Amino acid sequence: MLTKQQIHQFHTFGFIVLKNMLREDELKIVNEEFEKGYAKKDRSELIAGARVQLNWSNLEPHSPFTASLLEDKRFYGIAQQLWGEDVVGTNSQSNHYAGTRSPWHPDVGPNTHGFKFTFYLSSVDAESGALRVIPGSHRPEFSDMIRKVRLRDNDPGPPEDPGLAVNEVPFCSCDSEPGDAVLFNYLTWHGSWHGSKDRRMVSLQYYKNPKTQEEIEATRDTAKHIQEHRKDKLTINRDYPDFWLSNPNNSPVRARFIKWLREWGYIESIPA
Amino acid sequence: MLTEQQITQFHTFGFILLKNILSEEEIQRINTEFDVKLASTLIGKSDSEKTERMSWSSLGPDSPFTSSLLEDSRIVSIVDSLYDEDYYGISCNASSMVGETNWHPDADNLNMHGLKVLCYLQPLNGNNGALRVIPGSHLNPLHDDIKQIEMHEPKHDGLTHIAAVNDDGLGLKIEEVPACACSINPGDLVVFDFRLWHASLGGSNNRRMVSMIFIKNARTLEEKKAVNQSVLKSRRNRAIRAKAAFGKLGSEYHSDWVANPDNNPRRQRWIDWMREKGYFEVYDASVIESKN
Repeated sequence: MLTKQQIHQFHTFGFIVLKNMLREDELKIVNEEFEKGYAKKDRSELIAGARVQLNWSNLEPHSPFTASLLEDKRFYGIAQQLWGEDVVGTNSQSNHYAGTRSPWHPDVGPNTHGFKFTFYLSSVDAESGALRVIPGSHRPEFSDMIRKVRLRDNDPGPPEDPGLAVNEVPFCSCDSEPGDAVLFNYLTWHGSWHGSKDRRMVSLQYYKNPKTQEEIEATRDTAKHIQEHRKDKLTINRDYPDFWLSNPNNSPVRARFIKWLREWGYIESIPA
Repeated sequence: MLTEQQITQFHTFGFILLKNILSEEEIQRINTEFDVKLASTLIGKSDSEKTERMSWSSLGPDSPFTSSLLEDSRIVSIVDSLYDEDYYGISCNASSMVGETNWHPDADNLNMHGLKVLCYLQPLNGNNGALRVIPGSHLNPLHDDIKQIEMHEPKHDGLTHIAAVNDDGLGLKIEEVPACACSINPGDLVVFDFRLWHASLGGSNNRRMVSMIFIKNARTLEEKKAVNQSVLKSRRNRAIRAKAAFGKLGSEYHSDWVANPDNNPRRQRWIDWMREKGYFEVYDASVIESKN
């Protein structure tokens, strides 16, 4: 669980790095399940561009342990500390990166609140693909100002002033070792630079249960966007696997997640 | 001059790093003037191993080249771009730095608009004394939120104590605070907003830095109040630094510089404003003694 100071750090800077959140034996299982998912993944669904990314759901039968982490009190409990008792676990995904960089971006638009746990399965630092973040950039005032900075990968300018390359943007590097977790607010600007062609990352994703009118509208818009892109295999938006939706162990936590996902339109239809 | 994009970067992140502004020859001239002045300080005259930051004004006949940087077209054109040519150059100091510097902004009043131009005379990175900054921390809400972050500060210099402190093992060490290190080579400049949180870590003794200070002309009542407060703080800090370096108080502004022998209109405008604001008044020594 987080201390009061860690919670304040997260909300101030929009991220925090937690050391040794997974044991070695757990990491071994996560790696094995990652291998199974990677082997099954259709290579035609490669997300090209700078990232060269393959992405798949961990909510499939091949990765029961990784899927269970979404409901694990170590992570779900932290999510409740950060976003309230009624926080919702919405997904767990694996990512394989072979590209040279991830351009700077926040994950969602304004008023959608939540965060990711990311676990890098090898040691990474600023020059080898670690998550780079702009501290405090989850705040709308700062985020809006960053949008006006010309970024070469996002909105290149003329050749004489093409904008900042990924490695020219002021950043803090979330260096991590296997077992460490990087938590970051979806609104925090992030990117990455260099690294091997076999970078592996597993994420757990949580949303705040929307309360204000703005949050409610943003949550509906996000669900709509996901539904519209569900059939596009070159996005990270996936159908929820029937296996996970069937909740075979009758987990009350998962049952609540599924109920919320259905109510808000994140799940297209009740599986047969 | 800065490009439009560089101006946007400065106002967004609170700082900007500019490469290769001064030449090798110019850095050598600054070092030569630095050597002479450092030798006249208490540390320079002492045979002991004691280390302490030494800092002095470069606005005098001992440091003609360093002094000229405050009005150098390459420097003032940067400030022109950022403050629409409506500002005052008030200081050019040289410092022999030692050790680390705790996290702090130079101005805690967000109505205080000013900047520092830093020129380091050695190559530095995040682990050997380069400036570390928290991008965007010159503005709220980030600026004020950082004050609630408990930090481990075993050493205080009495000038920069703003953060919440927790030295019982739970406070964040300098390197644990999320930051961007301004890796730099001699000839490069770092320009940063007074309000930006910054620190340094792991630096060797006698890290050499020249800093030039520019204050934007205050327009609103709140800005004018902030500037007036900063004048008092500036005089106090300079007096403490002067006493540490030379064992006595003295004016930061040498009479030769204030005389403005070349009748530089820009300098004269700055001098007239500083005189009005009280920069040239000698700080009351008894107040400093009572602080110690």
